[in-house]
Amino acid sequence: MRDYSYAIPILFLLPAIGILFFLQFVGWGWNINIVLHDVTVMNILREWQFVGLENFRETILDPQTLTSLKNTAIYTGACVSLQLVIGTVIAYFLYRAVPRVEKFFRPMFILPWLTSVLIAAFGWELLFSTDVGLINLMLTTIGIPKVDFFGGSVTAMVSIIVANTWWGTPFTILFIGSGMTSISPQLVEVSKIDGASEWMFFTRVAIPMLLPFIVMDIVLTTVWTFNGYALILEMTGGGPLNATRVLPLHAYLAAFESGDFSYGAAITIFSVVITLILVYFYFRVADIEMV
Amino acid sequence: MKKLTIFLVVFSLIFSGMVVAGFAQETEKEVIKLKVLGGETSAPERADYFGLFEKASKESVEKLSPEVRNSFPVAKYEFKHPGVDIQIEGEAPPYGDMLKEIQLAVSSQASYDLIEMDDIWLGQIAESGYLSAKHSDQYEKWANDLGFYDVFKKGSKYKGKYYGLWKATDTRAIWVWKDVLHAAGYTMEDIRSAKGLLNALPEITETAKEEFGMSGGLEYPFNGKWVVDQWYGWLYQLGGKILKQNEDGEWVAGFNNEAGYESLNYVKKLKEAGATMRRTWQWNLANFMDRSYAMTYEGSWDFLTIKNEFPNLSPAEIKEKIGMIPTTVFEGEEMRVLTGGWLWTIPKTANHPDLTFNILTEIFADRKAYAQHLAYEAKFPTSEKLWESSLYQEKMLENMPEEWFESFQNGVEGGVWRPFFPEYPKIQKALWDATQKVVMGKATAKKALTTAEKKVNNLMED
Repeated sequence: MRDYSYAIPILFLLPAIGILFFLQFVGWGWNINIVLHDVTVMNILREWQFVGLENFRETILDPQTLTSLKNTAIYTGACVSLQLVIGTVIAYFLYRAVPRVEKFFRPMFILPWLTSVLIAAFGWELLFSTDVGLINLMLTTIGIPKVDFFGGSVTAMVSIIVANTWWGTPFTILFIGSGMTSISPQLVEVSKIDGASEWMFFTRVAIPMLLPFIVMDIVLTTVWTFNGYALILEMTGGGPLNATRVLPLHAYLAAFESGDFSYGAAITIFSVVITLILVYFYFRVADIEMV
Repeated sequence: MKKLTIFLVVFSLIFSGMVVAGFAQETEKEVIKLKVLGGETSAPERADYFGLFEKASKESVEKLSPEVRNSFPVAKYEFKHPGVDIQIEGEAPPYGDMLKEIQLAVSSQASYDLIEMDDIWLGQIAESGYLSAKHSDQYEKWANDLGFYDVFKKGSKYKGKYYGLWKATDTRAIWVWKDVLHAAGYTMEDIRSAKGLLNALPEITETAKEEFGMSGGLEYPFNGKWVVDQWYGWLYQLGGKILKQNEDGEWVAGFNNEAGYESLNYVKKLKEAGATMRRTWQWNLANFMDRSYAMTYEGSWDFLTIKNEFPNLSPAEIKEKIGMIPTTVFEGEEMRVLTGGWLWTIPKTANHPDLTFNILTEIFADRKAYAQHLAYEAKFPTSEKLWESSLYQEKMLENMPEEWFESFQNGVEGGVWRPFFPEYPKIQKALWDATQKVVMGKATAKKALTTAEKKVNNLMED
């Protein structure tokens, strides 16, 4: 009698694979179908005209795509870097702190991540408000005139970077922190005996050991920051003058503000391709084999 | 005695039967749920636009006074059809999210029974095929019978067919706290002109901040592409237009000229004079009512908010506290202000299209009920006959100062209308970009409007 036991795991996996296949491939197939046609709110209920790659051509030639790409690069680069640096430092601080201190501070540092991104955005919007914002109140108290944070291109970008960094850093604290638990306490002791300072241990021992975690953290936060736009939509709506219009927001506004669904879908595919290139690049740089 | 006992027993049985039957009839009311999508600014903190949203289902319509009952189509319909209990499932997103909600409804074929939409979106949504023109003839008849102004008839039509009716209109308005204005040494007369407001603004702003602890003098909406609406009034006063027809009869941009430059620079000058360009809120009077600002550029729809804030004040007492001008006027020019409005339209996907239409009939076919409905909502009519109706005027003047009523009427009659083309939302975007560039000092008015002109002409060519 033949042994079919090897098929059992496959049978168990089939429903999950089926759902994944449906969600990914059918969804993407539909998206690509829309991109290859001219679908707007005005003709969505009628026959769609086939336009080939025209929507991609339009996406690439649209000056707003270039602006959005530039904004996305600044926003993502700044947020990911800040989250990584601040998150790693805090994670290391918690790792090295005495248990009582660690127990007190860890929930506090994680708190922002438990907040809904929209509530976080609304909170920061209030903090940066020209009229009632705490930040402007503090500035005026020390004699600095009020700043219209959402009225200037640079200040608006800074505002959303600060808000996103505040909201996203706890993930890095958790993720890198869990990596740090794999560093044996004896290793710290041995390093100390060998005369290594705290800084030397951090840079020459801890960081190299944490590299796989750091790369994965960068990959995840890049993908999330690159694709996230709810915070920006709430805080600045992409303004002023498109100064905070990032690619996903560009796609959203094209689809749901202008009613150009095909164009919005084309921008989405464009941004996914860029994300994939970035992820590939990260793995190559870190010399980690992609699964 | 025996007869009396038999009589009492029989009477009790009959009475109990009647009670049970009555109760059964009460509970056997046919419940119909109508899905309605409407704008928040068109239906703020009051009983609802379509008819007593909540009250109708909680209170018996019989208990309402005939006047109130007849002012609301659902209540009126329910009263005529006692076996029907209409429950409105309403959604009223903020204005800035409305178009997106409607577009999502189109793409998902959502089954709203009624949509209340800004007139500027009709072209785009009607073109999609989502809306029903089944009752086009009847809408046209009502518009004619009610004496609709021509512009409101045009705004209810797309490609020759009526897709609903533009049921009410409004104008933009500047609301003023008079105590702050007077403390700064100015009167309402001083700020009626474009130049007058500009000259007075720095002092009003300083007084508002220093003496009244306010955030600023004038709050100017600057947070979404629809804020070009305020600029349109000044553009038209100076002879410019959004679109004009060229010699070949084609529609082209009509704003890239001296009128466009001067009016757009006026917005920039307002900012330089101290106006706060608000970027983080949608139409509402909240910052004015909580006295964060001495003046707010908003709309006539805010009157109800003011009335609700001061329910016991007479119109004269309200006018003593608060001043209103539809907009400022350039020297030697006539007042022109943007007038908008909302239309009721039934999508093809409606679950109860006939019932919804019958409910609309309750007011569109009954001029008195329609006049009361508008007065109850403090909305302005789209029909000449209703403006002139003594019933409507009396009802409005019970609450609204006469001077304001007349100003609003002048505003509507000399109103600036936005184009009814499906391309309008994109035209609006191009002009919003230009406004931002100029106000933020990134481009001159000429440069910004030349860029916008190219975009608009390309759109109209396509």
